[in-house]
Amino acid sequence: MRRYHPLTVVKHLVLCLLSLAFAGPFVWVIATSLKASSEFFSPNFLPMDGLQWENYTQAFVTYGLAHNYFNSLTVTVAAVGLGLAIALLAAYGMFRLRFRFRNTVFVALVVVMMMPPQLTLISQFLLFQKSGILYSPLALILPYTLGVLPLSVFILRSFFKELPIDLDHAARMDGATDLQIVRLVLLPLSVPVLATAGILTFIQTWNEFLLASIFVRSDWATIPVAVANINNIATQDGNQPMKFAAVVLSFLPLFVLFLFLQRFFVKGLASGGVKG
Amino acid sequence: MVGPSGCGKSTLLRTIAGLEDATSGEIVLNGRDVTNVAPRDRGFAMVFQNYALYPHLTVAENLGFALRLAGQPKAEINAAVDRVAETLQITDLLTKKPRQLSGGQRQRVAIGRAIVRQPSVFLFDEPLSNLDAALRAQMRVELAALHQRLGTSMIYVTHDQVEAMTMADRIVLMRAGLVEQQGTPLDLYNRPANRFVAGFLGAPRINFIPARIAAAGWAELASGRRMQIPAATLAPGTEVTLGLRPEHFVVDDTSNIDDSFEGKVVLEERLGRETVLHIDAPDLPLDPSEQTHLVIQRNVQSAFSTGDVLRFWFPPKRSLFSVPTERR
Repeated sequence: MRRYHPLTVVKHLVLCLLSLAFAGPFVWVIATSLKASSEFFSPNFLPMDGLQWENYTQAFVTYGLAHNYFNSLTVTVAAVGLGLAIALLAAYGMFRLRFRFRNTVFVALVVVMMMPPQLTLISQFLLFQKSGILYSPLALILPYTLGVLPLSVFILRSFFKELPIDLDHAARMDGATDLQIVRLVLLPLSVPVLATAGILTFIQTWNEFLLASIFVRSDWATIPVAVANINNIATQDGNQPMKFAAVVLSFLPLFVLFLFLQRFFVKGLASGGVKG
Repeated sequence: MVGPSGCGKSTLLRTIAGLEDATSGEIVLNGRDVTNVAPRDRGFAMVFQNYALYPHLTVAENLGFALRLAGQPKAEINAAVDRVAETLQITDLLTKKPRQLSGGQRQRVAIGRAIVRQPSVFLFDEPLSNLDAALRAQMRVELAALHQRLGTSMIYVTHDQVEAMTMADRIVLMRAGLVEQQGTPLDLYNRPANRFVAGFLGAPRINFIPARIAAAGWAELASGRRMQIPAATLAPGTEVTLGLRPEHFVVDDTSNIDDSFEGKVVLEERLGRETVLHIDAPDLPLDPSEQTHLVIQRNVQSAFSTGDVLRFWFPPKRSLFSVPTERR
C-alpha cells in the first residue's frame, strides 16, 4: 500500500476542513429548503419526511419569484452588456490611444469608483424622478451600468497593457478605423477577459439590494428584494423551509453561470500573434 | 535607416507611417504633403519587429485583413491571398493560426500582409531582429530579391550595420535623433562624414589613432612616430584622429618601409576565410576610450599565433582622419 508523507496528510486534512466550512452552509441551506415545515426545528440535518419540492414551486409560482427572475435577468443582462461595451471602448481610449490628460481621465475614474453608492443615492433619486424614469427598469439599468464600469475597465487595463500596441498599429496601417480596431482585433482577443469581468460584475449586479429597494416598485422588484419580502411573509406564515428554497433559487443562476463560464478563464486566446 | 538603439530611427519610421504625429516639419510623398493624412490614406504598408499578426485570425485572414477592410469582394481577396502565399511559399500555412507558426514563418506572413495591399512604400521596422542568424541571412537575400521583383520603395530600419550595408541602395545613418550622414553604403564606408559614421560602419571596427598634423601630408602620433596621411589643408599642430580600417593594413615582414610598425599578437580570431588579429603596438597608440588593442584583418588563414611579433604598415591613401569637431 502506498504510504503518504505526514505533511501531505495534514495538508489534506486542513483542506477537507476548509472545504467543509465553505460548503457546509450551502448544503445546510439546500437540505433545509427541502424539509417540511413541521420538520424545520428538528435536530435532523437532512429532511426525513421526504423531499418537499413544493417549497420550490410555492416560492417560484405562488410568491411570484418567476416574475422577479425575469426582472433581475433583464436588468442585470442589460447593465452588464451595456457596461462591458462601454468599458471596452473606454479602456481602448485610455490605454491604447495617446492624448493629453489621459492619466487625469483614469484618475478621475478611480476617484469615482471609490465613491460609496449611498453618497449619490439622493441625487440619483431626484435625477431619475425629474427625468421620469424613476420606477422604470432604466432607473436600475443606468446606475448598474455605471457600477459595471470601474472593475471592467480595471481588468481590461492590465490586459491591454500586456497586449502589444503594434497590433493596433498593424490594423491602423491595414486601414482600420478606431471602431474597427476595437471590433475586429481587440474584442475577439478580449473575450476571456470580458468573460471574467462579466461574471464578477454579473454577481455584483445580481445581488444589489439598496438601489433595487428604492428606485423601483414591486412590479420591477429584483430577486434580492423579493427574497427579503418572502422572508417576512414566510416567517409570518410559519413556512420556514420555503424561505430557504427562495434563497437557493436566488443563487442558483450565479452558480450555473460560474460553472458554465469557468472554462473561459483558462482559455488563453491571446497568445502567439506576436513573438513570445 | 540605421543607427544605435534609441537613436530615433523607429520613431522616424512610425512618423512616416503616420502612427506618430510630427511635431514639426513635413512628410512629402511624391511631391504631396502627407503630414496630416491618416495612415490608411498614405498607401504605406508596414512590417513590425514582433510581426504583430492578429492572433485570433488564420494566416489567410491575416493576409486578407486589409482587403477585407477595404471592402473588396471575397473572391478577389482569396485570389490575392493565394497569389501572395505562393510568392512567399506559405500556401500550406494558410489555415493555421499565428501561434502554430515558427518565427521565420510568422515573419513571412507579416511580409505577405504588407505585399498583398500593393503599397506605394514598404516600411520595415527591424523585421529580422527576432530571427536566428542563419534564417536572418536567408531572409535578407529573399527581401532583396523581393525588392527587385516588386520595384517598390522600401524603408528599412535596422541597428545591424551588416543589414544596412548589404541591403540598402541608400543608407541614412542616425544618432540621437539626428541624421549623421546619408548616401550609398560605400559612400558612407569610404567617405564617412565624421568619426561616428566611420566607427559605426565596418566590422571589425575601425581603429582610431589620436595624432597631430606635423606637416602637409604627415601626422605625428602620440608615440612621436610620424605617419604619412592624405594631404590636406590643415594647419600644422591641429589635433586630428586617424581612422585606419582593419582590412587595409599590410602585414609584411620583409618590408623595409620606414612607415612600418611592429606589434605583438595578443589575440587571434580565426574566422576561416579571414583572420582578425588583436595587436599590442606601442608605436601606434590608440584612443584609449575606444579600444585597447589595434585590430588588423587579414584575408588569409593567418600563420601567426598569440605572442608572435609582426611588422605591418598602412597605405597612406587609405587613412581617414577627422579633426576634433568630428567633421571629416
